[in-house]
Parts: sequence; C-alpha cells; structure tokens
Amino acid sequence: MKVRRWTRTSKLFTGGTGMVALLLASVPLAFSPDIVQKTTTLLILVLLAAMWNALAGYGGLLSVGQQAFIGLGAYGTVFFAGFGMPPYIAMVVALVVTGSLSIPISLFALRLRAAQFAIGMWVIAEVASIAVRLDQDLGAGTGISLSQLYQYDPNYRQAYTFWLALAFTVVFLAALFFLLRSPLGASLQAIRDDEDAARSLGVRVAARKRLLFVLAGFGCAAAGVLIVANTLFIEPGSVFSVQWSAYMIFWSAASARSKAPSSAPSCCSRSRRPLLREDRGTWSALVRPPRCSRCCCPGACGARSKSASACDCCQLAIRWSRRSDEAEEEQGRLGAAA
Amino acid sequence: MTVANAILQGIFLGAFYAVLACGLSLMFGVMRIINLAHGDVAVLGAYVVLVIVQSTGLSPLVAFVIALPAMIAFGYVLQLTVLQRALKAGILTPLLATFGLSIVIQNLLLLRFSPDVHSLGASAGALTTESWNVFGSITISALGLVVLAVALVVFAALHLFLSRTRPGWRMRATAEDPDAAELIGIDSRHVYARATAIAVAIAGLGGLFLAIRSVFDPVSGPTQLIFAFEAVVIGGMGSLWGTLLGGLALGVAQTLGAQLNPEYAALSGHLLFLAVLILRFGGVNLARFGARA
Repeated sequence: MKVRRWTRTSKLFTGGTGMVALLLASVPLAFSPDIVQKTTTLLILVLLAAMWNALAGYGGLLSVGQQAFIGLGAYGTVFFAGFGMPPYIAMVVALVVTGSLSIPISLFALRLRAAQFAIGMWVIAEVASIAVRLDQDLGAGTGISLSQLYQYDPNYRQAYTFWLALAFTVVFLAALFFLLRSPLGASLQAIRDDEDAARSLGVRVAARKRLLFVLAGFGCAAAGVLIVANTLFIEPGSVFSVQWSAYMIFWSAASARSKAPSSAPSCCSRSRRPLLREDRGTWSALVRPPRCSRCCCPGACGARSKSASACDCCQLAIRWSRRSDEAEEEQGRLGAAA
Repeated sequence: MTVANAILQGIFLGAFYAVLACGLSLMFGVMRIINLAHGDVAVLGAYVVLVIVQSTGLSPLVAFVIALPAMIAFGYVLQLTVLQRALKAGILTPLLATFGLSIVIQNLLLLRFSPDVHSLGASAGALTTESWNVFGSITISALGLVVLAVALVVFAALHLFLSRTRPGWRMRATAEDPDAAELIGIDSRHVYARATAIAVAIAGLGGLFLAIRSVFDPVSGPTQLIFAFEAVVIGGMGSLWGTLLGGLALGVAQTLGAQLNPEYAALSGHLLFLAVLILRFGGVNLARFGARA
C-alpha cells in the first residue's frame, strides 16, 4: 500500500487556506475597528485550539494548564514593555522568552501521566498566577494595562495587532502542518494512534512529546501576547483562568480531536517505516507481537484483538469494504429487477 | 506557640481537604479516573443544602442528611449515563468528559443561583462560633473538631466497607482487575456506579463543610478540586489512608505558609504538591487501593 500525502483535495485545501489567510490580511483595511478586534479574538481562539489539538490530539497530553503560558506571555509583554522597549518588539521578546519556559517546565511536567499531568499543569498555572499577584510592579491582583500601546492611533493599533495575530496564527498553523507532513509527523501520528505500539516500533515518544509540548508552549505564549495587545488590560484572575483551557478544549473538540483521515492507511504508514529499518532490538523473538495478516502491522494498532488474524484497523477496513460490496450487490440486484 | 497553633489549624483545615479528596481517591482507586468535576459536585452539594436550609429553616447538618439520598442517586446516574461511556474510550476521554461536566455544572449553577456569594456559616449557629483557648495561644474551634472527627469517621467507615463487607470486596476485586471480576460474576458497572455514588455523597459532605467554614459561589469548584487532587497525590495515589495524611500535610503546609504571609497560603500548598511530584518523578504509587488501607 502506498501512502499519498498530496492528493488533489489536500492541495486544493492548502491553497484555499492560503487564500483565506491573504483575504483575512485585508480585514483591517475594509472593516471597522470593532470587527477587527472581534476577528483578532477569533484568530487567538483558532491558535489556541490548534495548539491544544497538537498537544492532546497528537501527544495524548491533556493539559488543563495551558493558561500558564497564556498568562506568562501576556505579563511578559507588559514586563518587557516596561523596560522601554517598543511594545511590538516587547511582544516578540515576550513570546520567545515565555515560550522558552516550556522547555524547563517540560523536563518536569512530561514525567507525569494522564490526570497527574492535566492537574500538574493546572497547578503550575496557579503558581504562575500567584507569583504575578505577589509582584506589585505588575499590578498585583488588580491588573495592569499595556499603556505603551496608547501612543498609537486606535485604528492603526487595532490593525497592527490584527496583522500580528494573523502572522502568529499562520506561522504556528504552518509549523504544525509541515511538522505533521514531515517524517517526524509520521511518528507523531503513530503516537496519537497508540503510544505503546509506537514506542515498541522505535519511535522516541518522549522526545516527540517534548517537541509538541514546546510548540504548544510557544503557541499559547503567542496567544497571551495577542490577548494583551488586543484588550490592552490584563489581570491575573482572568488571564490565568482555567476558562482558557475550557475554550481550547471545546473549540478543538467541536472540530473533532484529530480524527485519523482513515484509520487503515494511517496504521500502515506508521508501522512500515520503522519495520524497514530492521529489527530495532526492542522485540526479541519471544515477545514479538502477532503480525496482522493483511498489512505489515505487528498487530500493534489492535493489540487488544489477540484472537483475530488482522489488526483492528484492517478489520475495520475489511468490514467497510464488505459493506460497500454488499451495497453494490444490492444496487445491482435492484437494477436487475428494474 | 504560634507555630504550634498554626499546625493545629492546619490539621483542622487538612481534615476538610481530606474529606474533599476522599471521593476523588476512591474513584481513582476503583476506576483509575480522575473526576475533574469533583469540586463542582461538592459545590453542587453545598447549593442543594442551601436550598433546603432556605426553604425549611433547618440546620445545615440536618439538611445535608435530607440531601444525601439525592446526592447518592445523582452519583449513581452520573456513572451509568456519562462516566461509564467515557471509561470505555481510553484514559483521556474520562478527563475530557468530567472537565466538560465541570463547566456544565458551573454554568447551570450560575444560571440558577447567579454569581452571588453564599455561606451557611450563619445558619450553622454555635458550631461556627464556639471555640476554646488552651495553653493561652492555641485555639480549638468547634467546627475544626467536628470536621476532623467526621473525616476520621468517613475514612474509617470507608476502610471497614472495603475490607469487611461483601460489596467492599467486590469493589476491590473490580479495582484489581475488572475483567477477572466480571468472570466471577461481579457486575462492574454496578460496582463503579456504587463507587461514584459514594464519592459524590462524600463530595457533598465536603461541600457542606466548605459552605459552613467559608463562602462559596458557582465557580468555587475548581479551586476545591485542585486542593483535593493535591491531597490525593501528596498521600500517594490509590492509597486511602494516604489521602487522609496528604490532606493533613496540605492543610499544615498552607497554614504554615500563611504564617509567613497570608498570600503564601495557597502557594506553599502548591509547592508541596509539586515537590512531591518531583520526588516521585510522576510514578504512580502502585500499592493497590484498599490493600494497604
């Protein structure tokens, strides 16, 4: 079986998305600041949802604490702007600095599993929130405004912020897109389908998860930067609120958490790669899992179905093809009767 | 002496956290899921008691006894309708489902009760006001004592239930291996529903204490969940008595932190939690639930 990445549909869709981005770039020229601000909020939510999807959908890292990075990004902007940096430069610096914080945090957080990770991240967000509350220079609990942005005319400010939001969203979505299309992406999809199976096939699960975690950290920091640029005022109670995680989850879940385009090809694409690289030494002859009789999977995607000769994905594919055969037969019979 | 007093108050506070965490620990022990709506269930319980108190004028403790059957039924139905389905779909789906449930409960409470802050402290009468001074600077409040006593009773009762009764054995067997338990004729759905019913009832008790000792509003659930989860993790996930000790440790850490600066109260609890996580490197305490209890 050959895995085709760039089908006509995907080319059309990618081109279409590019066109939409270009069209969006003209929004500040055509619409009132009110609409521009709402569209900026929309872009922020798109960015957040995409990051959450990368984290939970592909990495299996369900976090309810990404607001840690949102809040740090927002407060980082105010902090660096306070040093006299031009506000838009401060935003980029804040993004880089607070996004980089995801690396040390990942060293600790990625050791946690499932619920411990979810709530562990939440507690990290709470600690960040309390740390901000304790700092009088950052407005403590009452909040602070990004007053340096007032120097710009409101219409221009709104437009700049919008373009920055569009740029961040496009960059992060493109990064995610090309990451998933790269050879790395195949291993990420393998992790999504079945972490243990991926590990047994030689995928470096921990490193891949760290990559996703850091990407999501940067993405959420970018969203935080944009939030403060868009609203001009932040307070720890709202910017560190778990409500952000709720938005991310609902938005992302409404658009289906990383559904595989079709499970059978995805299972084959992920298992063929490492298999070609000879035995990785992870299986001895004794523990080698049963091979699927239909594809090259070591029964990995369907380790649960020990009795069947085909893996789960292939069983599903067989069932589908049978069903469509039956439908064809039925139609043939109907045609003959007519 | 102030430190001794802070530790004592921490133990009283910790007993409250332990009651909150008890149901969370039970659900994790039996089903391996963390109920992210646990705090909101506790707040829901507080609101049920509030409604009964407001409409009948009874004492909150009596009102809780009236509310108890409703909470148990709620837990049972919740398991059968929502959690059971989520449980089948891997380990992340229950987290997602219960997080959604938490948002739903918060918004329903907001709709019905508005964001106003409520408290049952006033209607609990002497329970909240009575306190005694010993050795000069050490204060023992009636409420603290009651919460501590109730926490001990709840944990002891749960321990006896799990170790001495047939339904408790079934629950432990199901926690150990649901498939094997099914083979010997245990209906795991029923056992899970029973565990959730107990957890929701104890969460309601936690909500009652929350309402009496301080104030609550529709969105105070998540904070309670964090504290409860911290208590569970500090005590070692899956261990019942560990949860009680974890709650006490969390309470003491918070009151000692508050001793330095009132703003450090929550922070020092969080730091203790993160320290415990770092020390364990996220390894789940594999001592089976109830076996060590």
